[in-house]
Amino acid sequence: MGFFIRLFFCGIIVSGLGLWFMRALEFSDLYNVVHKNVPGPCKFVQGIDLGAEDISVLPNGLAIMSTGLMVPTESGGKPALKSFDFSKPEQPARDLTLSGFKGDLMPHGLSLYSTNGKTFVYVVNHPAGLLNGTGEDEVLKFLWQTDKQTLMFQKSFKDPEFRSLNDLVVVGDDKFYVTNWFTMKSPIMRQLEAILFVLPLQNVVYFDGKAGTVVLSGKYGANGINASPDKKYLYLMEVNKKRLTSYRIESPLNLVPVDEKNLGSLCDNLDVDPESGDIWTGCHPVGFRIMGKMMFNPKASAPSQVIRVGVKNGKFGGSTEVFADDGSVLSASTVAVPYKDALFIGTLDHKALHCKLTGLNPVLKL
Amino acid sequence: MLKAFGVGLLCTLGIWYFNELIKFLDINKVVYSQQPGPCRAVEGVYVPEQGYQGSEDVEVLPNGIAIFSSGLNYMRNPALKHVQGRMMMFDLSNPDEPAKALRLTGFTRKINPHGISLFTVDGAVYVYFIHHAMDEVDSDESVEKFRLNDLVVAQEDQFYATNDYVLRHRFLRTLEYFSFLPIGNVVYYDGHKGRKVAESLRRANGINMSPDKKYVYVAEAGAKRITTFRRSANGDLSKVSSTFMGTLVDNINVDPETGNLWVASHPIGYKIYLKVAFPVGSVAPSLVLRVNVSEGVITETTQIYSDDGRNLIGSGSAVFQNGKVLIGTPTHILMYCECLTC
Repeated sequence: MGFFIRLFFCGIIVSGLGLWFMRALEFSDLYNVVHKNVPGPCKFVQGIDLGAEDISVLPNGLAIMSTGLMVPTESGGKPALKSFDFSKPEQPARDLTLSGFKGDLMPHGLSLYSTNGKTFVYVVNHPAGLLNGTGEDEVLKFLWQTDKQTLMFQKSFKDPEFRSLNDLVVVGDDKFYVTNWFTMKSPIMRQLEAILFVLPLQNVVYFDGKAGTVVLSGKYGANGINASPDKKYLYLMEVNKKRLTSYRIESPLNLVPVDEKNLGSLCDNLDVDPESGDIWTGCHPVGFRIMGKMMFNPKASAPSQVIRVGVKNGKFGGSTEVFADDGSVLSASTVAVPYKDALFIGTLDHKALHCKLTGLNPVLKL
Repeated sequence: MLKAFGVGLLCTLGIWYFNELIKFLDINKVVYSQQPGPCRAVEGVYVPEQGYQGSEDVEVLPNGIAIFSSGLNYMRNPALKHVQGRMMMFDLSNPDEPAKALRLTGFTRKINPHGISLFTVDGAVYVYFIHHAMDEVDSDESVEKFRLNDLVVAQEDQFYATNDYVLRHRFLRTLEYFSFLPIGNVVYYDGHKGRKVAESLRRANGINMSPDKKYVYVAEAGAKRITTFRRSANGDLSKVSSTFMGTLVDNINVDPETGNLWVASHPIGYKIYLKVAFPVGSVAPSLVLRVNVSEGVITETTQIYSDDGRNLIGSGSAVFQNGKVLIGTPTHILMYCECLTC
């Protein structure tokens, strides 16, 4: 009798404490509500239904993007590299023809490099599929023939340090920094690596044209990566800690940490505005929803968000939310690229949005 | 011994992992900066050396004149003894002019004004406001002896008022806040007596009414939600819906043209509680939302203004008129913004 009374009171206390604890957590902003936020009139970009995970834009307004990253091979939809023209935003995004490339294309992060009047596109490729295989990820180099809507294959870079690649930034001829989203080689170990996201196991590799060297190790998830317009500073998104970090590039292999900023959101790819140097990023503002989508229900929608961060000489300033949606209009944004007074927002596997930045307050100092 | 150590280690790891998981699940919220257009402080409101501060509840008349309460000493905190309670006005059609204090005639006591409600009848504008008497004890028996926060006038001398908390002592009240108990309520004063018309609310804060007077909107600050009620002619309320806002909602204003709610809130819960407990020196972030509502059900929320506290501390109320937004705070400035996308 006494035991049951004790058990009963224990139950009450534990339930009470548990309820209080849950309420306290709820109160401490665990339950994040995404309120709508638009910088101006937005329209879906025609021709994009399988996502546009990463996109990069040239000074003349021509942009290239990776689409179809999450496409399962049985579905019939194809991963592709497409082009979009900011000066004709009502025109649909168009497939780019690959010439001279015989392998399987599943493009992920990309980076543009212009030299001698030519534009090269370097793109992370998962020939065995996203997170499949045991280290077949590679970086492909194409020459972008903009007048012919064609990408002429140049070469493919492979390296033992390339595990599960995510994004890259090119800093010289065939020289780039690339992020390892996962570092484990076997699928089972990769599952474990995902569950133990609290451990800093990810890294950044510098490829000098011939071989790769791990240049930043012990990172909490290495996702988006980019550099300042003068290529003096490197920016990395440590997505598992929701933080943005910056490094001064003293020499290709010598990166000195400068600053870090908690963005409070799972931000994906980083784009750098060539005029202001500000960082624009596409984010997943509600952690459990994007994880649920990726791990359990790929058909579910996830909220979207675009954040702009001020940065000067590697030091971060303020941040502003430019766009937000609970997933009912745009699902799982991963990238945001501004061009003049417009913004392109790409997603993991949904559509893409083209917005006019009429509401952007030019006086807002970041 | 080894087993105890093992269990202890597992528990520690489990708690540590759970904590990391919670952090990952957005428990550590970051508030970004966002302005709907150029914003600036209205002059004449925040002059701390003279004890002038705050613009807790703001309402605007159709002609552009905004009336607001200033110098609130919430909880009659001795730390705010120097603060001067004032009723003030600001003209949205002459925004370069400073806000002016309104002179009270026929009332000689010092005011400590909180929620307000404007009521126009026969061309005369009546201003009703909650006044927390500093020296006297509440003597009016027909008003529930809780702590009034805001009110909305339904007819002449008939109004709904919200009761925020029960306990008077400041420290006990802090405990009451963290107990998350649903002991707040809404009372209706019918001109003679007050009676409870909605109970078991988690801290009833801001209150307002739809333009057609059919619906009453209540901010349940303690639950970060807005609860809507259908209103009967005799004043009774029946609940229609409750929508979680994810931010500690304060005052609610209703745009007479669209029926949209303009809600000011405190996006980081623990920060506004710290600000209330230690009103001098601390900073709390701000968040203003426009809430679309249809037949008493919230259909969409849009973020209009957001600040981590460096520009605007603890936004408490917001009004919209003709593309302009006025944002009031309990202890800081009155912010005037142009809204480029509204």
